[in-house]
Amino acid sequence: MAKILLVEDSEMNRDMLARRLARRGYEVVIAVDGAQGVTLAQTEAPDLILMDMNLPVLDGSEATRQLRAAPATQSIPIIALTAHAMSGDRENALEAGCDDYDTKPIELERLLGKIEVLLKKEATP
Amino acid sequence: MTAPRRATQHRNNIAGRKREEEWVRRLLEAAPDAMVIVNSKGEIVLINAQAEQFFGYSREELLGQPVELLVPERLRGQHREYRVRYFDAPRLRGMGAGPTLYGLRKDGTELPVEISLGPCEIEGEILVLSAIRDITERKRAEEAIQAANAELRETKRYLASLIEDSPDPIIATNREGDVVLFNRGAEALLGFRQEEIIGQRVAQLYESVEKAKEVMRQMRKQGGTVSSFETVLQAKGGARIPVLISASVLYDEGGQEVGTVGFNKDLRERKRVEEALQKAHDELELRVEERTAELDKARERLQYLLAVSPAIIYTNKGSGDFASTFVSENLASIMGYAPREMLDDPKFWVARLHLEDAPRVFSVVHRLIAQGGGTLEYRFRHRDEHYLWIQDTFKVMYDKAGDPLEIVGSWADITDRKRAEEELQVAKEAAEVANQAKSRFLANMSHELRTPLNAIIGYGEMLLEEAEDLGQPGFIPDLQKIHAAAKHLLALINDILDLSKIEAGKMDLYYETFDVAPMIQDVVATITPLVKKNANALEVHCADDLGAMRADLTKVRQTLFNLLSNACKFTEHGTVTLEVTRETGDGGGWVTFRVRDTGIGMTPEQMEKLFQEFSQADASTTRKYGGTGLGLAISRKFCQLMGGDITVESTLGHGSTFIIRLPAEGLALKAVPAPRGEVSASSATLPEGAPTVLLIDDDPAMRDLTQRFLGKEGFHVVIAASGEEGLRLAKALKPAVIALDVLMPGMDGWAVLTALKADPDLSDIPVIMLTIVDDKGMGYALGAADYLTKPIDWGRLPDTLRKYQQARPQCPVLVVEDDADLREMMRRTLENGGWAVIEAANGRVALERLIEQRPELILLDLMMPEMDGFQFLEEVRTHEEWRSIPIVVVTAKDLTEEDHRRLSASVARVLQKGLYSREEMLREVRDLVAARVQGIRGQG
Repeated sequence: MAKILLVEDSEMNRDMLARRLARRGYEVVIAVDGAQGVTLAQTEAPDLILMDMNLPVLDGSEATRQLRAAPATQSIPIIALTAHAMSGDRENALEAGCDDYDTKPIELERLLGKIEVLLKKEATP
Repeated sequence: MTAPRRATQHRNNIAGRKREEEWVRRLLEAAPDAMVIVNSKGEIVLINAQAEQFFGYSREELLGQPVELLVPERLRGQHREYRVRYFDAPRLRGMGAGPTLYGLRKDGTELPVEISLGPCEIEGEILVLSAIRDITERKRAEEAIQAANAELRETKRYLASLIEDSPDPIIATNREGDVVLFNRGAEALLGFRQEEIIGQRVAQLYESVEKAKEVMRQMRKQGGTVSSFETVLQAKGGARIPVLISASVLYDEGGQEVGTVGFNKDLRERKRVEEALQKAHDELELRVEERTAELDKARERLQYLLAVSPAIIYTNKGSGDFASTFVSENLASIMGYAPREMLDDPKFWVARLHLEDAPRVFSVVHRLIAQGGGTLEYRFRHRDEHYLWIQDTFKVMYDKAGDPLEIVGSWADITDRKRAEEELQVAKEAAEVANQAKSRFLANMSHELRTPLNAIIGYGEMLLEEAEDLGQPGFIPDLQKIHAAAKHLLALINDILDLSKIEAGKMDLYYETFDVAPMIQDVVATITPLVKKNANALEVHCADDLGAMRADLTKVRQTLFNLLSNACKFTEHGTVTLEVTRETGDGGGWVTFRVRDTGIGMTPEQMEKLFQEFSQADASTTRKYGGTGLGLAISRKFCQLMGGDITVESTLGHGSTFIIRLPAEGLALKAVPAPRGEVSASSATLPEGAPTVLLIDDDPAMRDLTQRFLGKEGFHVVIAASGEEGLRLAKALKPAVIALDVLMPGMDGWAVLTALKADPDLSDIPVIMLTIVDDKGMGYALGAADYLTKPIDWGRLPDTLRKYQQARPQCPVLVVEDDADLREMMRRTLENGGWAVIEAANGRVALERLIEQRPELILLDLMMPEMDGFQFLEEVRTHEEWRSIPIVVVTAKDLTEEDHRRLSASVARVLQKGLYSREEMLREVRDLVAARVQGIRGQG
């Protein structure tokens, strides 16, 4: 089953999303800030990354930029998780190199659809 | 007688004779008259000295001469006869009986004489002694008396007739008061004949006896005369005749009274005239009184108004040197100055103007005076040194020649108003700040609320899943309720967030071009569960030509969903209809969505409140139907942001129709908030060919703001801090548009504008005035293209600039016209309007030009040799890349229905030759190109 790296600093959101994804059969790796996310992306080589945009240490867009810059991680699909309120998030995310975004609060079915699309795309280059 | 005796006697005789002779001689000499003695033969025998003197002869010359020598020749024969006859019976008598006798003098003159003849016998000889007296004097006196008598007679006759015939009535009486004279004038005046009145008592000619007595009394009192005394006579038949009588008592030589004479003057005409005069006078008097009363009232009114007026009233000399000629007393109460101070000091006004306002005031006041008046606002120093805000309103009064006579005006103290305005401005700014803070707070708050809500929703969903997995269906309904309530709360929070973002001006639009029909399918799919919930049917009618539109897809969808879900909520067992059409109307294409339901409908009052935030049709609705009451307000604001709107039509009980109208081409009427610090765009990042705007303004803050803002809007902004620098830069850069401030030190905006328009190289550059001086007339008169007043409406500025920005050289206008003169005229007109021009003499040449260079617009004649306009249009239509070029047909042809049909497909506009003005053509070209440029910008 696909391995998903979830980069999210909010413990509750992280726990909730991780558990629900796990229930759907995904292998979930967790990072609590951007820097950790970049490190884990390199060491864990996930099939897809869910990246919160509001992160401590290294924020989501900067982390994405670094991931896109590194050959090992540059082709991993990234879905940005953006806050509805932050109107600049979507642009920042796409500009930084995210493949898609989903707005928090997460509607699981919608997010799962986006995850599947990207994983399928990845599988059929 | 004896001899001796005789002798003696003889001696005695001789002696006696001698004595006698001697005696006679002496006698003759002593006589006063000329004496001539003549003998019977008629010879002069003796004369005296008086005769010598009288006749001018000496004695010797006359003695012995016939006496006829002394008679004028014409009388001599007669004289001789008389002489002879006299000698027959001489006696003493006078000579001649009637006619005057004349003596002839030696010098030939004749003199009238009186002659007395007397016989005397000397020595027996009868002699005649004539005494001749010169009666010249007596004669003259007699003649004079005769002449005087004649004259007297004549005068008498004249006077009598004068009196008798005089038209002035004259009446005379004798001492007894009987009429003795009653002339023609009197007859005419009183109607009596002379015969009837002469001998009658004069008193009966008066109106009354008393009147007659009164005249007599008056006459006696004044020593016998009365002059111009007014009385009343009575004419025959009784008519009363007012007269002025002048009368005198007449006296004889002895001073005895003999009667009276009176002259009467008819006063009837004079009375009439007097009465008329009096009447006119009275009327005049009355009118004068009325007028005076009016004037008094007006003066009273004016004085009252001047006294109570809250404004100071003044007059100045017409010369415009600000010296005052009058000022109302309230100058003292309002400004603290005595009126005298102002009137005595020609510099009163100038010296008390606030220094900061003076330049502005002076830059306009002379112009206002030249215009005949105006209103100014400025600060003016009170005697206590503080400043008042004054509104100065004045008017120039002109004399008949049209020269300014004086300036009348008023000063109103508007300090309070200004203060209120300032306070209002501060309050407004504070309110705006507060509102933004509120919006920011709401945004943050919503975010904070959402985080725990996410957890509730998320964990709720998880628990639901777990309950199903673990076979615990008993929990499921409760968990579903928790989930649904959380979702509702989330929807509320989202709506509030949307609204606060709209209010804070932070709602961004993400434009994309999408096909309308699939979007509708998508929305219908989403709404279907809601439709079914109230057992409604949904009908969807999509026009075939919907095609694509350009808008913020998410917001269009959200809006449609909102209206459809409302329709479903308020309708049960009914039909909800969605109808989508596309139409071409004012300003381009529109897509219209109509959401119609057969539900409960609304009253007009409910419709009014419909789009207000937090307000559903009424409170009970909320309880019954739920919802936040924000959906419609948000939907409408979304549509307005996208340049459209939502309207509603409804009848209570008969359902409602909501109509969304959106521009198909995505012309966002985006409310641009005032630029903030974070707005930054350097001209370096602007694309090649960005239009250059030259901004001339002395205010650094304004320059910075305008530059940053216009930079963000895609303009390349060059800055000049003064008028002089602006002119230099304009010459060097030839900017597309110049934005020009008016109030600048040194060379002001008007001067810069004048200089720009005077330079043939620069006169075509459109100049937009940016200024606090609201004087559009002046701006346009000097040649400004447009006029924006500060504070600048930031939303209007870029559009205004774009409107006037000239065609880029690589996008010229193609003029296809076979008439060389007309083509030349159009070229010149367009070039003057700032366009580059490509010319083509017919359709074939035009196609060649099109291949070389793509024009921004084509002006096309229809009737041309080789290839006419219709053929050219067909050729253009076959080339995909040319289809979007706007084409304006300029033709003299009378277009048929068929022609119109053929043209309408590919032509933007048809101008009839000779019927459009130069300005119209330029405007048409400019508008079409501007619309296109905007379209291109919109897409990019």
